Amino acid sequence: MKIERELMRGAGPIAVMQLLSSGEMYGYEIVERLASESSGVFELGQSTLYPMLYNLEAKGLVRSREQRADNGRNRRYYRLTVKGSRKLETDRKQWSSLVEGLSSLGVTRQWAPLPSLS
Amino acid sequence: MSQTRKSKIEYVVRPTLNALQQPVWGKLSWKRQLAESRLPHEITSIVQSVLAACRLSRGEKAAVAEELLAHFSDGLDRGQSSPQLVEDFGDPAVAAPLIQSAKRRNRPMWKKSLQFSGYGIAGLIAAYVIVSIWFHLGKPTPSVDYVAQMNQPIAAVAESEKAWPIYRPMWTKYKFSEGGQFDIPEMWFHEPDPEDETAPTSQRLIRHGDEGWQAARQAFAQHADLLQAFREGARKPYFGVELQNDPKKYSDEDFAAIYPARSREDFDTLSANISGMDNETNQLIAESTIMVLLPQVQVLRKAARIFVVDTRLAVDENDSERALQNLETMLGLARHSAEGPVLICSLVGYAIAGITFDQIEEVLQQDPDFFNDEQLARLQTAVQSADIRGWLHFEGEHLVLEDVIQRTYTDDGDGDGRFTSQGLKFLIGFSGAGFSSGEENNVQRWSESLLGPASLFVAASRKEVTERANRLLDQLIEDADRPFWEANHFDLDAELEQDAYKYKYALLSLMLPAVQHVRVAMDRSVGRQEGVRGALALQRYHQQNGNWPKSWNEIPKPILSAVPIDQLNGEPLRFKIVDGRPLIYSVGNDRDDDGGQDLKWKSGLPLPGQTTGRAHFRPDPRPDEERTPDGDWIVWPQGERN
Repeated sequence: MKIERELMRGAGPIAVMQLLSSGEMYGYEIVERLASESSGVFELGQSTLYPMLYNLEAKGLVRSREQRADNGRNRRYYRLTVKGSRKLETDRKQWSSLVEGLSSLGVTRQWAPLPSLS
Repeated sequence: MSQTRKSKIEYVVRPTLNALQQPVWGKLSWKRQLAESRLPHEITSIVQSVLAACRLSRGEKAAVAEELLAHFSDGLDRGQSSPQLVEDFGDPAVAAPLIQSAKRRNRPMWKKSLQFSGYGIAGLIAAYVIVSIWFHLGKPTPSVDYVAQMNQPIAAVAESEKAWPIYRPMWTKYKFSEGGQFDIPEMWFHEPDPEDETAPTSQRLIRHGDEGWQAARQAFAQHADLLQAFREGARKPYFGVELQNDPKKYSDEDFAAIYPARSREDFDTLSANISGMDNETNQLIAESTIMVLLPQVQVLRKAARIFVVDTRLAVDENDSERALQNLETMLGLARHSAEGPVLICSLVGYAIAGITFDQIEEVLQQDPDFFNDEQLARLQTAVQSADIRGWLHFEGEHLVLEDVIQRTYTDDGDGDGRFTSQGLKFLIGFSGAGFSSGEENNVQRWSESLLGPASLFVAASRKEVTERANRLLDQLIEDADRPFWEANHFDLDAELEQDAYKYKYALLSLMLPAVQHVRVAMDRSVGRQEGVRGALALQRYHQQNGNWPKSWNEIPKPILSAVPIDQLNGEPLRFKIVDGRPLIYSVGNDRDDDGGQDLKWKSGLPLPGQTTGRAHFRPDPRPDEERTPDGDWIVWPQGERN
């Protein structure tokens, strides 16, 4: 199921941060994991992912480093910062409340914890 | 190496170094990266489209290119096809602005600051260029002939009331005006140094007993017509010479009398190239009131000195009537000088009045009974009718200021305007910092062109400068109307030197003369006049009664119409009789009566400025003995000075 862009704009960063909370990853890896672990819900176009990563980095929520890969190319690895972890925790609570609220209203069938992406 | 340290290097140090290197190496890398990526054309093409649409630094583009190429390469390694990867990537037109704004947000703080500083500087430069154009486009448009306004009072006077028609033929004959080199060499006595015959001699006016006295008598007889013309002219109420900023405007007759050593062509050259400036600025200066020359004023002082010697000759010949006429003439010359609208004329007037008072004193000290009572009464009338306080007037200075303002500012038709490039050159020319020729000239011109517009941020507007000039002049006039002891002693220099006004009103600092000095010269002159008036009254009383009065109040009104006033405290001048002669004194700077004790240093040496009163006429009394010793200002007699 394709998520609308406005919804993705809010959910995308938390999904990426949640993914990075398990360890550092490079761009393609994030795309791949998001798609596979969210059952295709978070199939981010790279045109969205990379600006999102740059924004998270500008806010100090993630940090990146270069490392030469086996294929000889320089990959940029991203990892969650302490500030990013705190932000993820806050966002997670907010999303939980949101989902709970939506559930109470009958928008969603029942409350369920956020699926683990890691 | 610890994990933390390693992490710091990888996540902090290296990215920072990269950011520093990117501007330098970026260009070499990002296009080459695409070319050398060995990825399918459709992939490099989409990456190129994204980067081409991003307005990022070359280094930032290189970083994005490297990451995207790695991404596509990873995709291919995972077995995805190029078209699929391109499709998954999305629209480059959407990606480019997102990447651009995210990357910009991601710039390090120093880079952002540098960028904003760059924008700021560029903005300032652009603003300065606009201001410069605005500054250089502004032109003064002088519309009022202030020289004509200066001449209005004299132009309204009938010829029969003017001295000039009487002076003029004699000035022409003897080339008397400035530059004509007129002199009566016999009127000077050269005093040799008794200790060194080879030393240059000092010069003073000749007097009875000096070598050459008889030769002086003969020389003066040969100039009898000149002296007679002065005697007749000085009786006229007005001098009557109109002022011109261009001497060529004078009639042939006036020109020959005022500029005896000049031809009209001389002034063609002068007005065409005042200070090596452009023609427009030259014209602004040439047509201004500041170009009004006053060669006729300074020479009146020379005329007064001639009458000092002729009065000595008259005393020697026991010709009291001639001596009296000479003294009356000298006061007339002082009045004629002070008639000029600018303060320098007033100063010359005070100087001539001082020479006259000295001469009256010299005659009466040598022979108190030289003049009879009727002559002393005439002399009294001449002295007290000299309106010394009225000689200080600011109308001319006001007109000069108005004129300079109209030549340095634009005119919006409503009394306001802005400072102009030509105005700046005008003031530079006036201040004597005019341009020279050659390379230095060009450097100064460029400096003026580049830095001149900054004056717009500093200089007051036309309205502001006009209002401030009026306020300052009003304060000066109000203060000058009060006698010294009641004056506020408005300190114009201090006012103009205040930091807030120093540069904003630089035009006023430059244009307003040292008014306080003229004001003090006036006060001293009035103080001296009061002393001479008192001395003449005392002499008349003595001649009529054979003794000296004990106080001014003993002198009847017909002899002394009003008690002479001490200008330092507003009370009557003090007098006492010393060795059978009156000594009249003012309480002086310390404002207390020291019994007519001269002001002297502790060493006994006289204080500079004691005789002239310069040491006493200070706005604040200074009883501090270290700075101003105790003592009075002896107004009469002051001793030989000419």
